[in-house]
Amino acid sequence: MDTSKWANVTYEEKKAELEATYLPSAAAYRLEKWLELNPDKSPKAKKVAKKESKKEE
Amino acid sequence: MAYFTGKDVDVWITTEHMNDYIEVTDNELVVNRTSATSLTEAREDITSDALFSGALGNAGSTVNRLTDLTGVDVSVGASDEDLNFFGLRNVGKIEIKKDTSVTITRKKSNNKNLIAFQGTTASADSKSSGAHGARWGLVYDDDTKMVLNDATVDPKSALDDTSNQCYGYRVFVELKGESASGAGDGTVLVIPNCTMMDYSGSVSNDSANEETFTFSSMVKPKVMNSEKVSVTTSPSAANDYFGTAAGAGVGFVTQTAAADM
Repeated sequence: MDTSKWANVTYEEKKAELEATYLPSAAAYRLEKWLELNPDKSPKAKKVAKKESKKEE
Repeated sequence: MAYFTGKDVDVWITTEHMNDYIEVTDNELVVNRTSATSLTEAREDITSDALFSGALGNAGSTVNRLTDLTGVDVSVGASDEDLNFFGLRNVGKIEIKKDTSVTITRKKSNNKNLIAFQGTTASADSKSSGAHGARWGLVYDDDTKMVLNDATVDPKSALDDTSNQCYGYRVFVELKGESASGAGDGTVLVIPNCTMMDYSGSVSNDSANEETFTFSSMVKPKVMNSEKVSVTTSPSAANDYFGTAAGAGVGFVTQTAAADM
């Protein structure tokens, strides 16, 4: 799948889009699938990245 | 009834979901679910495992159309109710519903269409246990995801995860391509909410093996005379018959209204 179309989309934006389009449980399922394709965009990944950048400093 | 040879027309068969479609993996039917939220995101080339032409958002692309067609037989009709009135000679011919079917013959290149008719479906992607084909398209399983309909959900009750009508397949028959890009003189026949009715195959030692399958629908078909832009990029023409980038306009990828089922 071409994931480049989501290059500039944040987790929060995608979550809001999916919740506006799909029924709640379906939106949650699709968000989970989207994170599998875009693991670097998950909130957890962001936290880890922040911690690592602080350590480097 | 009109018969077209394969080179006369382009045909797309899609699910009635904007971006979810069916795949055949290890001889089992499974659902390919995406995270697309707009028609632009849904527009992409289908996977090699995809059944037919993918989802509604995949229609219109040259890559996604049915290949190796040898014949397309389109039958358009309607069921009328005859009403007799005292003192009147003529009979009221009141239309009840349309009756449209498309029979497609193609050179058999794999077993995907056969599996679509007879199954089986992976249990995780089925409305029930999975011992069925893909004749009735997709349906929301009321839990989390789109699954294959097992025919226990009636056509009008078969909704998707956006609460829109999702029964069966949509068949697009492009009767005439545009004479030039943007000319607006292309013609497409759209038959929504079709059921896969039958499947047969032929084996020959001196010609190509062929398969024939039929789609039938009682939902009113539509004909559109308009233009088509490159759907795998970003369609923007308001009168494009495969819809605009935002999923708006008069494109025939709009799902059927409940009142029309």
